[in-house]
Amino acid sequence: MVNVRKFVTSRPIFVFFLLAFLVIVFGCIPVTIWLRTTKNVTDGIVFCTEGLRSSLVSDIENIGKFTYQKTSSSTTGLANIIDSYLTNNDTHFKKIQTQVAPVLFKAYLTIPQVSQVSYISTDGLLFSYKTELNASVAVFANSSSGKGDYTWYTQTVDQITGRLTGNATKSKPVDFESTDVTHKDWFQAAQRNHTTAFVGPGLGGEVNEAMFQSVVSLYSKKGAVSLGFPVKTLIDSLNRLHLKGGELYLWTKEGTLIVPGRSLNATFFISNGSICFGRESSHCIPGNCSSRGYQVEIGRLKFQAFCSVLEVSGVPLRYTLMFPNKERGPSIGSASLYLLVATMLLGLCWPLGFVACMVNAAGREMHMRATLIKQMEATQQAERKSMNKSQAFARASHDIRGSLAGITGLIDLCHESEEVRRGSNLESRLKLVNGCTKDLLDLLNSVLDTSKIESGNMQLKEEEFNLAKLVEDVIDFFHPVAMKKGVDVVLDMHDGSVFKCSNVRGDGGKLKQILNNLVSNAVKFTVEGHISIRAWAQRTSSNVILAPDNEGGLSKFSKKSKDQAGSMSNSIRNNGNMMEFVFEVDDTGKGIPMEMRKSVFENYVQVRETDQGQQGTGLGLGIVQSLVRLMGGEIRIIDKAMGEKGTCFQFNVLLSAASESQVSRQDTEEGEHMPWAINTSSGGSMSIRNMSPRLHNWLSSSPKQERSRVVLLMKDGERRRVTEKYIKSLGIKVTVVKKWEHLNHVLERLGFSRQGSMGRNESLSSSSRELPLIGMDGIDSRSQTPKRTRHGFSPALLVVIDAETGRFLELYDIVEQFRRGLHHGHSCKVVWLNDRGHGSLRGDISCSKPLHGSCLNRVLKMLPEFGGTEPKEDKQGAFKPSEDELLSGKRVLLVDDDRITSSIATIKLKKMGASEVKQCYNGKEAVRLVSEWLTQREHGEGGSSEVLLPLDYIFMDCQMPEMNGYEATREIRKMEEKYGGGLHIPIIAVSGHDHGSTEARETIQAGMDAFLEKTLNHDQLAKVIREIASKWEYASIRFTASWMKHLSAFSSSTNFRKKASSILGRFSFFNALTSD
Amino acid sequence: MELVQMQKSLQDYTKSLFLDGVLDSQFLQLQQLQDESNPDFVSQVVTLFFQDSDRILNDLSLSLDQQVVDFKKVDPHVHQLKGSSSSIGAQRVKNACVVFRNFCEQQNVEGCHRCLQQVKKEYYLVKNRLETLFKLEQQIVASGGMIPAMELGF
Repeated sequence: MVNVRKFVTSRPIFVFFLLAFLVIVFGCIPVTIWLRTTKNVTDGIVFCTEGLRSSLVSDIENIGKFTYQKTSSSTTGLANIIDSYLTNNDTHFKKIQTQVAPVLFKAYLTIPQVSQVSYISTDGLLFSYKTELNASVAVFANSSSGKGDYTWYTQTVDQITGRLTGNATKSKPVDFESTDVTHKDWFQAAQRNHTTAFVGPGLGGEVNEAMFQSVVSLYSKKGAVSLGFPVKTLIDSLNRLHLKGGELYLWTKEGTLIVPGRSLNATFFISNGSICFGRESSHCIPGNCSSRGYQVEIGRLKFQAFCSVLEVSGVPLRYTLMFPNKERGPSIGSASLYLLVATMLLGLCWPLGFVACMVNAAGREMHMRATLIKQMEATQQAERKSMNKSQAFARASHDIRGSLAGITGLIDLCHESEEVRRGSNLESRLKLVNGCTKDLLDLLNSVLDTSKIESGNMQLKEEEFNLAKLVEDVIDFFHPVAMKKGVDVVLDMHDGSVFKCSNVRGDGGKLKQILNNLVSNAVKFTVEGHISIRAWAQRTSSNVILAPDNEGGLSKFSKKSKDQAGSMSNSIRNNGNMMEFVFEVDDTGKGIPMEMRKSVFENYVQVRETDQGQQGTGLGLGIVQSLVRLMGGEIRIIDKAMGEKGTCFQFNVLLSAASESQVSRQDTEEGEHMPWAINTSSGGSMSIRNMSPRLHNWLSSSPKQERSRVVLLMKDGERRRVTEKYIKSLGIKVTVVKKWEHLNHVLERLGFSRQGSMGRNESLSSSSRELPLIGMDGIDSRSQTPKRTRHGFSPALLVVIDAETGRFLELYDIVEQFRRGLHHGHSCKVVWLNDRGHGSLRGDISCSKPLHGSCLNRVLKMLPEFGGTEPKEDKQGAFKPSEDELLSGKRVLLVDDDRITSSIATIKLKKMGASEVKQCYNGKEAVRLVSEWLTQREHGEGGSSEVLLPLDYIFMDCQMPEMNGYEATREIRKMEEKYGGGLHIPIIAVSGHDHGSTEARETIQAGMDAFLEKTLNHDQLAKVIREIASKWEYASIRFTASWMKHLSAFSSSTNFRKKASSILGRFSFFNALTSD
Repeated sequence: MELVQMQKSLQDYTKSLFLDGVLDSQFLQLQQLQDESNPDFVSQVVTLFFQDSDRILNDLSLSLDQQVVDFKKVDPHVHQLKGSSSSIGAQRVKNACVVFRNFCEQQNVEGCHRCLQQVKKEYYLVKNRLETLFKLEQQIVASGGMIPAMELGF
């Protein structure tokens, strides 16, 4: 089709002619066939009409021939007979009457159809019999004077004898001019030619109708005999003919019309032997017109005339037969011509139209293609521009970040310097500057993240982290900010499933970023109410089931995860350890209008109505969405129930659970995160691997076992609800007090107090009687209570009071009163939620952090079901190495080819407390130095300081002459392997490139431990060193310990043994710390 | 009186260096690093920088004048110059080096020549300015004054 179109468009004229030719050819065939058929038909019609006409002509001729046949012979015979009677010359009328008349009468009787029989003598005497009005009469002319003057008489005759009867009456002669018949032309012609014939009126008598007269003169020249036949007979028979629409005209040579046409009433005359119609001679038909036909037009009708001569009883008559010319003529021929012309026209027009259409279409297509090409070019250009922009962003970011790092560094330096006194204006302003810089850096980072995501450079890290802690950190960070606005931020652990597998591998930083963004948005846009963050975990299967109530998101998600080329997704699927974590950030802010929900995730979009002068680039949610997708999840806005305010974001991510051993170790380390059994509301106890054995016993043994009770007095409804639900889900009874005034009443009714216990609550009181109770002072109850059940602990009462619900002192009084009235042996613990740290004075626990997550868990741990341990006081910031101490006493090798950078870095490191900074200028040198140290250490047992790692850190530049940083690192790592046992000198890459660049990744691949920018930022360095320390300290100490053991076995020096044992002691301490 | 004026002119001069973009915050950091334990730290480093840069620029001129330019030799030189100039805070030299490296990657001899000229120009500018700065400082020190600390919020 395309080829055809192309062909047509390339040579339209050729195609046009081709098509025209084809149409004409194919049009001509039927036309020709049709023409031939019509010709045949025409021929047939012509043949038929010809036959019809000829048959008509022959009919007419037959009539003429047979009407009065043998008339002349009859006349001749009669003449002969009469001749024989007239023997003598004297012809007297008497003689005629007596001799000739009987013969005439006999002839009159015998000759058929004859209407007059006459004898005319040369001297003018006449006798004739004639049929007149169905009677025979005799007409005779007698001359009284003898010569010339004749009187004509008519007398009736006897019908049988022919004798004259009656009186003779005078009658008119043949014509009025002369009474003598002998002067007539025909008589003289008969005398001359012996016979003659003519049409004329009868001789004498009353009625003179036209007759064919046949005249024969006698041989004796005495007279002539004439026989007359009526013309009427002929006309009658002719009229009987069916002429099929034709007209017949019959006339004599002299011009007497015998048979006139019937329908043509037009004036009609005969001149020069031709018949004429109308007044003009153009309508004349010549007398000699042949039988071929002659076209004549009379009026508006066309006729075909046929002429011929008809001889009737010797009289030549002319006749013309005229047929109207209707169906024949030009109709058929011109129709075929028209058809042919039409075909030609069609043949020309149709392809013309077709070609025009094609050309038009082709033109349109060309136009569209041109537009498309233009558009594509524009798109490409736009893409290129966008790419360039992104790249420019990335490039600029490097520099901007450098400057920012400079600024923060300088601020740090200012803080350190003594010129800035603590509490001075300058210091506070510096702090502000620092905050601004951080904001700027955040902004820059968000822009950078966008450009990174756009260019597809975003990579996920794989590191182990504690999810529960991460979530809690985020919330704790925002809690004070939100509380300032009067908005509570509540962490809802739902069913606690996140605690079960809180140790996960994945990109914690990115997850934190997501949560930070969502929560900060929520805080920003919520004026009153609360923000709750829900988190729960679920196993992933091949078909991820998110939650039963959101099919839309589910299908979208599972599809997405299939599509996502992500090696990640695949690895997730293959990895059985994969867990799916679902988070919801639910606020009671203004909410996002329905129509904005889709676009809210697009970059640079902010919801206008809720904007209200809020700052931001509008990049946040776009980045969040990209990050969530990167982690194999999906984010969306969940519809809230009618009447509820605010927005609820839900997203899910896939993270792999850390391996078992790591989990158990971490759990013991973390301690505060309780991997507990969750008693579901249906009563079935979920089997959880990390369930505390005591709790397990307790949960599974007796439902009748008295449980501890928690009394909650909290201001914020949402938090109260969430906390209550959570504690209940753990199988602990909860009593909620809504107003502080009710606290007293509620506490009394619980049945723990002496005066109110009896009969209040059957199960409560009975079980409390059954169970001997432990002392409230934390004395080991087992020794005191011999009747203790095998489960080994008694229920306790935990009162959690938000100090802000009422006046503290009054609250405190109520609690104190209640405590005094307690049964002996009941334990009652009070947790105060406040910022000021009251209560801790009296032995109660004060909690300043929001009561959720780990804080809540710590509080609950006081319950005997969970171990009954007293929470340690918050020791935040206990280990925060000051910057001076960061590298205190460490020995550092600095590898950099640039002397300037090197000397600056040396100073910096020294300022950070490094005891020794060794410099070398390329990789080779560094490798040599390290190998020297290693060999020296192996051989020399000398200095004890050399026994530990020869170097604490190596700062390695990447790009150096002779041997670059990567190679040097690989060499060093190879050397370390030779020594085995986990020897690992931390190598920190220092480079002019920024984090996340390919160079940075290469450094890690080469075996370096961390990556630092050349500016050697304090915080970054501190972070890096802390990370490395946590990662490698254990390994290096273990290595050293094994090395020690090995050496001390062979060494005889007591001094060395002493040192070794001290180091080994350190090791065992560390071992105890890290492994449980 | 004169001392105060000298101190002020030093301050103005330093400020102008930053405003012209000859130096950047890195130089400030250098100054901050200088303390009692390293009294001549800045001038030491800067002298080192001058020495190295002179050598490097010499080498670069030689390499670029070769019939066939070996970019593998040129590039490390430029890189080093870039590193040292950025360490010292000689911003404009550093920027010129960045452009230079791009041309090196493209192996554009013409461009490299142009860049070398540009780098030299910027280098001599910063050298000139820094020498003036040190002279001013020395004068102040010689007349027994203190070198004023740079303000951060210029």
